[in-house]
Amino acid sequence: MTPLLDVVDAKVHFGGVHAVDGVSVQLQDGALHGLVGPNGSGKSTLLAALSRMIDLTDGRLSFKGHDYQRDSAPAVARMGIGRTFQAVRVLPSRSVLENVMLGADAGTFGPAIVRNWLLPWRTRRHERQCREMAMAAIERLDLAGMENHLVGTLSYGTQRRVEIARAVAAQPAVLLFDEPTAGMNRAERDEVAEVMRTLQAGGLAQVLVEHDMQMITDVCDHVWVMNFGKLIAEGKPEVVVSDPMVQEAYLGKRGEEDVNP
Amino acid sequence: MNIWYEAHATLFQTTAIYVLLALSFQVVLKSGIFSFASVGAFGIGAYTAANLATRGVPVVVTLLIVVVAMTAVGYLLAIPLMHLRGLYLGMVTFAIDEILVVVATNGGKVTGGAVGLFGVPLEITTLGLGLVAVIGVLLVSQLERHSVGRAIEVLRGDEQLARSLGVEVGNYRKLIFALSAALGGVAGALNTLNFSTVTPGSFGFTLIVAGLTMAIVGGIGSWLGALLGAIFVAWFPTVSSSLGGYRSIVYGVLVILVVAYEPDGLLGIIRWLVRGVRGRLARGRPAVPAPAGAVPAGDSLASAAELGRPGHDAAS
Repeated sequence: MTPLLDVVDAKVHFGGVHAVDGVSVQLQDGALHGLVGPNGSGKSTLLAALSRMIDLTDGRLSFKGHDYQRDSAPAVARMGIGRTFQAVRVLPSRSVLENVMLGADAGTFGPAIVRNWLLPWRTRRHERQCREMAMAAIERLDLAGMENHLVGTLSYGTQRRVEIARAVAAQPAVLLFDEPTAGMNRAERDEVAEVMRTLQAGGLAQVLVEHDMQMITDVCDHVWVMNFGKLIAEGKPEVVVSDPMVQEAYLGKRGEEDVNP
Repeated sequence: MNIWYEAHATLFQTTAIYVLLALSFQVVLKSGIFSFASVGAFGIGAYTAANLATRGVPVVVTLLIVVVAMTAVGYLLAIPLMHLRGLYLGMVTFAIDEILVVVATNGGKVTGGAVGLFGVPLEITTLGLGLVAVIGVLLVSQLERHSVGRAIEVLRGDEQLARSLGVEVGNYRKLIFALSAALGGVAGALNTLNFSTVTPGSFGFTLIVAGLTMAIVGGIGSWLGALLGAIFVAWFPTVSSSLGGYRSIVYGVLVILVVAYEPDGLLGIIRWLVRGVRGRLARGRPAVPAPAGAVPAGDSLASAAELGRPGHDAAS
């Protein structure tokens, strides 16, 4: 079966820094994979490469069998690869609905935008559909009743949910999350975990970059571990967590090896 | 009324031309593109129209040629320029404007040199000017609605986010720059066709200041702001003629006050007043404008006043 997302020997080098150095991974339809590793291990860079925010130095990216390592980031987004960012990125002076509609708009942000501009009466139907898609995403993220609130007035955790709703409204085939629970309290974190499980039940494939191992073991069915730009382990979360290489990458080497001979 | 209109016809004509120039500035500034190229486009449009009209080309054809030519020139120029941001783009477009003035001054028969071109046939009526201005307003106002409006807003606010949502940031910036050039070019063409002259001095630094004043004092967030700004700049000297020698001082102070205290410009002030009156009517007690952030965005005025505060960050 063709994997939904197929990454073959992906490399991202910044001069001498090998941020991602020959990573090959596959994501199947409806899978929820975690991507973990210490700070600077290349997780976010890999995510940026997958969403085409940065160029690969070498390697191949394929989505539903289509090689997309040369497509533009906006084209990739419209193709069905959605993402969220480490920092909250919303339009604070716009309402929840308007922010989420930005996601639902995605299909029209290509060349169709000129038609939408010059023939505004043709966009009415689209606008209605967009609103419906956005409202569905808002309800899915438990934001119903808040759609007219300005996003800037909402709590951090709620803004995070608005972001996720925006990504979901675009109806992507795969959603890449970059530390979606950073800065959240436990209750908010559990909510996001619940949302991810529901989305998975709905058939949405997801990749979760996360530092919180508890979150990873709670929601992911498969984990990739990166260190120094390379994939050092992968497998079921509970197995990977007890892998000595993974523990070493996170916690450092055992005490006796630290002592100079 | 009729006599008053006749006496002020020139002002109406100037207003229509200024509206197009102000829209040309507003459309780029609102999209986070810090450009003065509108004035250069005004110059090219003005000389093109002068040359075509003196050769007997009908006014509609002249305007169409200017629109097509300026859109093409704007788009081609945008290809290298849209990699620049903020003040760097501002500097380059300013330099282009100044180069065009020098070219016009030394342009021989085509531009009439330092004295410019005179006696261009007057081919357009006040109604025609108004009609073109209305078309410009319609085109620009549609950029603020629906998915197009949302795309432009996210493009200005956060380019990386825009890209991640599927917005073709590079193409949008080029198209907006081209639209701005077309609007500026048409404003210049109408200016020549209405006043029958064009000189190198008619599109230099002074016009940059005037155009920026219209867009910023009116309010960059919306086409309505450009409209208000154009009316303000066109009519203020006449309306305030009783101030005599103090007129320029009052004008300057008003501009400073608006820019310093109301980044949304005259439009922001009007919206603030409307909101106050509405609140007073709704509650039957003196209105205290609530902090904008606390107002649900369902109130379109509140959200509209909150959005588009690019006045101070357009350069960033």
